[in-house]
This record gives sequence, structure tokens and C-alpha cells, in this order.
Amino acid sequence: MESLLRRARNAVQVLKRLSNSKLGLIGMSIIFVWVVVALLGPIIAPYSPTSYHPQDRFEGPSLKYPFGTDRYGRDMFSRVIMGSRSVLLLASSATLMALILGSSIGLITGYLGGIVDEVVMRFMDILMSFPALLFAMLILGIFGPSTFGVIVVIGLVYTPRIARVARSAVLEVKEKEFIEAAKVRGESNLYIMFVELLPNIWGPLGVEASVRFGYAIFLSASLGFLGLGVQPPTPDWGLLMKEAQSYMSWAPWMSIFPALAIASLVVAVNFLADAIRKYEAGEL
Amino acid sequence: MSDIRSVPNSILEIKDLVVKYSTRSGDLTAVRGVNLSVAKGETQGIVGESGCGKSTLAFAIMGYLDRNGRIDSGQILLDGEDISDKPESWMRNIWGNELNIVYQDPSAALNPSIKIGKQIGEVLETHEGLSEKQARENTIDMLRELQISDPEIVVDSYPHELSGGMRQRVCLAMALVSHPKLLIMDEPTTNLDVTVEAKILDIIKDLKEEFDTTIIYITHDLGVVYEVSDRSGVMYAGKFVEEGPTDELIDEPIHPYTRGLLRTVPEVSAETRKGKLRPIEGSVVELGNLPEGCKFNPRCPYKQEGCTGTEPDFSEVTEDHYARCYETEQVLSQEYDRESASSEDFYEKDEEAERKTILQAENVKKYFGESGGGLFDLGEEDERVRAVDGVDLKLNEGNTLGVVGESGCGKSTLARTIIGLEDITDGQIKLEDKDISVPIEGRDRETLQQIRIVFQDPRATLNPKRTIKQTIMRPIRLAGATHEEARDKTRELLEAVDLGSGYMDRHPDQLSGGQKQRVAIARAFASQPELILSDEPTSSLDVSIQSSIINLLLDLQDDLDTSFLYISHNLAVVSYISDYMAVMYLGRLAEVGPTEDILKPPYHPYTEALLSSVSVPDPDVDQKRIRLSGSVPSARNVPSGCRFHTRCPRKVGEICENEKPPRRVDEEEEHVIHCHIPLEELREVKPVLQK
Repeated sequence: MESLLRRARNAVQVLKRLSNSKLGLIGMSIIFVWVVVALLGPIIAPYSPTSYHPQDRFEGPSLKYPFGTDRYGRDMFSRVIMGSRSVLLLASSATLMALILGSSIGLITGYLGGIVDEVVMRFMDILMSFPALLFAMLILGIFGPSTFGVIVVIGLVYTPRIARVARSAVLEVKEKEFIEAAKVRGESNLYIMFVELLPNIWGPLGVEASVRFGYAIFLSASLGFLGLGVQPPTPDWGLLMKEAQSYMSWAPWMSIFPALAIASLVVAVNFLADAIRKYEAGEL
Repeated sequence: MSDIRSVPNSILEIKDLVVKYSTRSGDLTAVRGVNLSVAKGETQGIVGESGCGKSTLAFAIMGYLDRNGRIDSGQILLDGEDISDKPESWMRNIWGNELNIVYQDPSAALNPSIKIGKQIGEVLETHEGLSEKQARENTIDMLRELQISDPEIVVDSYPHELSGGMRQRVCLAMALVSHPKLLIMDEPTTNLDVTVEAKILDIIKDLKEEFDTTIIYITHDLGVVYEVSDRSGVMYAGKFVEEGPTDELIDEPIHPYTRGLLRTVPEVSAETRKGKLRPIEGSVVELGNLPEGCKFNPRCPYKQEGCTGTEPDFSEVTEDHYARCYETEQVLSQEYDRESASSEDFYEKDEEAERKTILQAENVKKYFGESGGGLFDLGEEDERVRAVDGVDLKLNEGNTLGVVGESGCGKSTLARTIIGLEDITDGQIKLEDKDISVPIEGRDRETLQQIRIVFQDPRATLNPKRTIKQTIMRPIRLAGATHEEARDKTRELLEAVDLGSGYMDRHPDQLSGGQKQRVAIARAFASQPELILSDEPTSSLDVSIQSSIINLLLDLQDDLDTSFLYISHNLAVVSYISDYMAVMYLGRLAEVGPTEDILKPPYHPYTEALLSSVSVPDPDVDQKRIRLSGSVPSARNVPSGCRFHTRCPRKVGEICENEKPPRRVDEEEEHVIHCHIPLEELREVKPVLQK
């Protein structure tokens, strides 16, 4: 119980420091807004995102429909609100997966070195050399589009980068004497990697993960745009963009608002990532 | 009002200098009012421990203060002109020209991608307008002055092709080549081996004579300042607390802090250690938290009421010798006892014969790299690095075996092989009767608990993300204790190392270097090991803290009968702490035996040279002067026969080049010297250090 309180207090401290950066504060606020929106989705959306209002098709933004309607008369505002859920869910799960997988790989290859390091990092190189979108299209094309598929694919795409960052952070720390002290005690490799080393590489990992989060948002929207992610009628910002494509010239609101939504979130995440980087560098 | 020394033709005059740093938590005053006058051709030593302000003073004089540092008030007069407020563009004319600095780390000061000749020549071409050819000639001359053999070759070499000692000499050449008015040297020999340091100090002394350079020599080492400087000043908390002729300052110091410093450093002597060292009470003052009155008063044994009022002025106590203290009469009236070990407080030790042998190393070898026979083997010789090449050691229960040697001798590799961090190439290591000639992976839990290690760098020795409690509890838990038992034991251990239980929940970044090292010691003792290896545990600590750590180790040894293998390059500390000593050179033992036998004849010629290179701050000691030529050969290409023959001042002849020296045993199998010279001859040699 005590340690939980201490951790909570530490977290608050970190947040305070992060808000010393103006951009960081803006980023955190925007993300916070979107998270709240996503959580309260059904409550704040004025209509159901999937209900048709055929008499109000292709209506521009108005008091009744703040973001206008699409070709089926669905309220864009509600669709954008509900779309935040899938974006946040997909991107954060994918980033989490990349974080877990990548840091484990980085820890193991960085610490053990030798042939394990060589072989595994070459696999990582191969994975990284695929253009993200192409790779995603390939996998989802073969296995069929699905939410779970998108998460796995995005996670895989970003695992190598996180692995690299984790690995180089490990290389810096592993020669330090407290690691040798652990070896002298006869600690197992697993203990040394996950109990002694891991807490010391949070910093660079956190920076990289936050950057990847931004990319993951964008990539999931792109996949949605290509129809490879969440399937209609579930609103996904990328999907909304896809549906808006043919009507861009005379129903621009169908694409502008989802685009702004994506942009705002990605920019906010990047601001936050930069603030985290500054925090780690001791500049905040 | 402070008394200020008046110097007729001073090269440097510092008047009431105040230097501040702006930090997140406000301004920090690193130099709080310094007055100094240095005459032409004089060498002014500045001595102090970390945080005293000596380096800040040096940077302020040079104009090299960081962006967050500034000269708040005061003047710095270089040959009459105030340089404290000059802009960089003006300073550039005198940097490298009239005003120069030599740093502690020569590798950082030299550009790794430019040849030596060009780097030095640049100074001459820029400031004296010499042509490239002329600059090169002058450079070669200067290198020759610095006793660099083959200067024509060095001039065309890159820094990485030279040894540490050579690099420092190159930096010296670069600093001297334009005949500066003032040369500042900031701990220039601290990173060098003691035999190399001795040569560089000789060179500095010679150059003073020849070029009449004015030098400010900054160091924490009282022995070095004694050798090199005409006058010395001791800094504490940003001000001088004493300043005077070096001979006088060392012989009869006035300020309690100076006395404390001189008395706390162990001296190399043939008298076996009997009593405890005398550390200075308390810890170095924090600049952000200065006490009222005299800044040294919390730690001062002569403290009186008046000392906590206003800070004392700098006053002339004896002729030309100043001190900042109210109690100088009291201090001077007490006889100055230079003995570093107190005559009370003994350690009683049991009879040697009754001890069991804890550690035995037989013909231990550790080579790095692959032997010939790689894919593209062109029939080349075995190019392995022979870090440890056949070492025999024995250590009995409750004793300390000190291993000394200079860089590349293999002492750290030996320690790492014994503890299992390296796998042994050949030979045998036994812990009591158990054969442990395998790396850590191959050792059982029990063995692992019996040998622990204390490392050198307090900053890296503790996991920054773990609390002190977690760090110490872990080895205790591994030894089988329950959580509660471990927690109690942790408290006990912390008390044993003089840290209260308030430290349990702290993180390493909240502790000082000395405190971190104490935690490291507590951690080493946590599993109650029979043997503890210490690899230079005090070399990054201040002198006053070093003594308390050494006392701590000896106290614990006294209580628990733990055996120590103590590795260091610091002869004074090792000879103080060890019952037995082993001198290593290039992977082999030169000499091993009881400490008192090592420190007096018969000596191995290398031991003799080491002892003659140590700087001893004691005017009563007569020290023989032996200097080794060349530098330590590479361990990849060891000399044949006796490894020391390339530099040995007592080399007999071809036999030294061709045959491995025999093992000569002196008295009861304990004292062993590996040398071709017979013991009788070595016994006749005059002792290196005599009082």
C-alpha cells in the first residue's frame, strides 16, 4: 500500500515536471481531452454513429450536426467521437506490444551479446527494412483485416526500433559495477536483465515509445484508410477518410474533421514525446 | 582586514575574487574571496579536496568558466593587467600564448585526428608567426627538452600512438612552447602511474629552472605539492585557509585543516601498521550549506566559542606564512605529531601460525584473445594479451594481502579471475580446500557467498534505481534469511558502516561518494564472506574520507576475521593496510612477502623504483632517487626472460633477457623475490626511504 502511494506521488511529480514544457502541456491536454472523449463516447455523442438520417444526407456543419453528415446521413460529430476509441485502442495496444516485445529482445541481445545478439538483430534489421505500410498490407492481406490483426502488425513493425533503443541503453549500463556485483552474487541472467537492468533503461525506452505511439496512430489510420483495419460500420478515423474520398470536392467536411482529429492527436503525442525527451535529458 | 602578501614583480595577482555559479536552486558561491600573489618564476601550489573551489579558481583565471559560472567581483591581474572582464576575443590572443593550462586528462586535451607536430606547431604559427618548417623545428626542440626520445618520430605521430605519460608530456610541450607568462596545471599527474608521475615532476622542476615559468600547480596530493611548489595554499570552502612557503607549511602547518590533511594520509614506511588512521571529523562542507563563522569549525579539534561568530580573516602568523584561524596560538602550542597512525587504538592479531589458509592461487594465468591459428593465420606469433602470467599467492584468515603494481600489471585481472568474473586460462585457485578455478557460472551458491568484492567507482557501484535497503537486503536474502531477518541485518550492517537507518529508503543519488562506498562495503559484508576483494576502493575519494573508510575496513576485519585482497596502485595506502604485499609487473610477481620485508632491502629492483617514485610529504624523510627509463611494454608483446629487463636499473646482463628469473626465497618461505641478482647482493642495497 505504501509503495503504491509512493509510486503515485512519483507519477504526479513527473507530470508536474513535464508540464514545465509549454508544448508538453499542450500535448498532454489534447491527449487528455481525447481520452476523456473516448471513454465517455456514447454519453457525449448526440447520435449513434451508425444510425442513418437519410433525409439529412451530405449536410454541411450545422447546429444539428456540428461536423455535418456523410452519404448515409450519419452524424460526423458522433462518428469522430466514437472513432477516437478505435484509434486509441489500436495505437496504444500496438505500442504496448512493441514495447514489451522490443524491450525484451533488446535486453536479451544487449546483455547476452554473442551469437544470439548477431542473429536476432539481423532479424530485426530485416523486419525494419520493410516499409511499414507495405508490410502491414502484406500481412493483413494474407490473414484478412481485423482489429487484432492491426494491433499485431503495427506492434511487429515497431518492435525492432524499440529493440534497438533498448539494446543500446543496455550496452551503456551493463558494464557498470553494480551489474558485476550482481553477477558476483550469482544472480541469474533473467534476474539481472529484468530486475537490475530494466529499471535503468526506462528513460530512453519511454522516449522512443512515445514517439512510436504517434507513428502508431498514423499507421492505424492509414490502414483504416486502406480498408485493412476495423471494418465498417464501426467508425475509425482512417475509415472515415476512406469514405470521404470520393466526395472530397463537394462534401469536404467529411474528410476535414477526421483529418483534423488525426492531426491533433498525432501532434499532441509528438509534443508529449518531445517533453519526455527533455525530461530525460534533465532539461525540465 | 586580511593581510595580503605583497609581491614586487608579480605575474599574477588575484584580489578578492568571488566566483558564482547559477543553478536551479539559486546561486552557489564556489570561490568566496581569494587573494593571491604569485611572483615571477615562482611555483604556487594550491591544495584542496573536492568542492573546495580550486578548479573553479583555475577556470576563472583562464576565463574558461562555464555558461552558468561568472566572476561576481574581484580582479585578476596578469602582469598588471586585469583579465577578469576581458571578452573572449581579447583572451584569444593570450590563450595558448601568455596564459596556458595543462589538464588532468591529456587524451581529452589532444585532438585525436591531428598529428602531434601539427597541434603544437599551430600554437607557434598562430601566436609567433613562424613558418611551418620553423614551427616544426621548435616543436622538436621542445619535445626533446621534455625528455621525449625520438622527437622526430613523435612529431609525426597521432595521440593514440603514445602512452599516457608521453601524451602528458606533449601537452606540457604545447603549453610551454610559447614561453607563457603563467602556466596553470590542474592535477596533471593524477591519472598517471607513480613512476611516470615522478619523471614528469622532475621535468617540471627542470623546466622551471630553465624557462623561469610561473606555475600554478593544483592538486589534492600533498606529496606532489611538496616536491614541486615553492609556496602552497590550502583551500577550503572557497577560500584559502593557509598559505605559505611549502617547506614550512608541510613541516609545521598552522591551520587545523592542513594539520588534519597531513596527518590523515598514510605514509609509506617500513614500520608495520599498528594503530588507526586519523580521519578528519565530519565531512567536507557543502557550499549551499555553509556554517556560521569559520567554515571549518564543525570539524575542528581546536574549536572555541569565538569560531562560530564571524569568519576569521587571513592573517600573517609567522613571516610570510598566513592562516585563517582564531586559534593559531593554541594550534602552534601543540606539538605537531606527524604520525598518521595513532599510537593508541591498536589492532591485536592472533598468532600467524594458527591461521588457516583461505585463498591459494597456484600458477594462475589469464590470457585474452585468441592464440594463433585464425582463418587468415599467416604464421604469426601468439598475440594474446598475457594479463596474468603465472602468479602464486597465499592468503590466511584475517589477513590482508595487498597487490600493487602500475597500469597493465594485471592486478585487476587477477582479482577478477579469482572472483570468477573472468575465466581462468591456466592454473588453480583454491578457497580453503575447495578448487574454484572456474568462472562464476560454475561455482556453487556457498562459494559465491564466501567471496565478495568492493569496486572502485562509488558512482557505478550501486543500482541507481534501488533503495539502499533493497541493495543490501538482496545478498542477505540470497543467503537464506527471511524478509524480517534480512531487514534487521540490513540495519545492523548500516550501523556497522556508520550510516543510520535513515539511509534505508534513500536512493544512491542522495548519497555522497564516501557514503556510497560505505553502502558498497556493507553489501560486501552482507553474506558474511570469508574473503573480500577490494579493487581500489578509495582512489576516487577525498583523502579525509579515505582514512575513515580504511579504518572501517580494518574494524570490520578485526570483528569478523575476514580476509582482504586489497588491490591498489597507491603504495602508501596498501603498505598501511596490508599484512602481506605482492608487487606485480606485466602479469608476473616481482616480489611477495610480509609488508615490512617488502618495504626494506632486499628489494626487487622494480619495488625499489616504485618506492623511490612515491611523493612523500615529509621533510624528515630521505628518499633515494631512481627513475625508470621508457614505459611499461605492451602485454601483447612481453619482453623475454625477465619482463622488467627493458627498464631495470640493476640489469645484470644477457641473462636477464634470456632466462626467466629464479624464485629466491628469504627467511621462512615467506619473502620471495624473482630476480637474477642473488639475495645477498640485494640485501646490501641502501634503503629507499630513511628517516
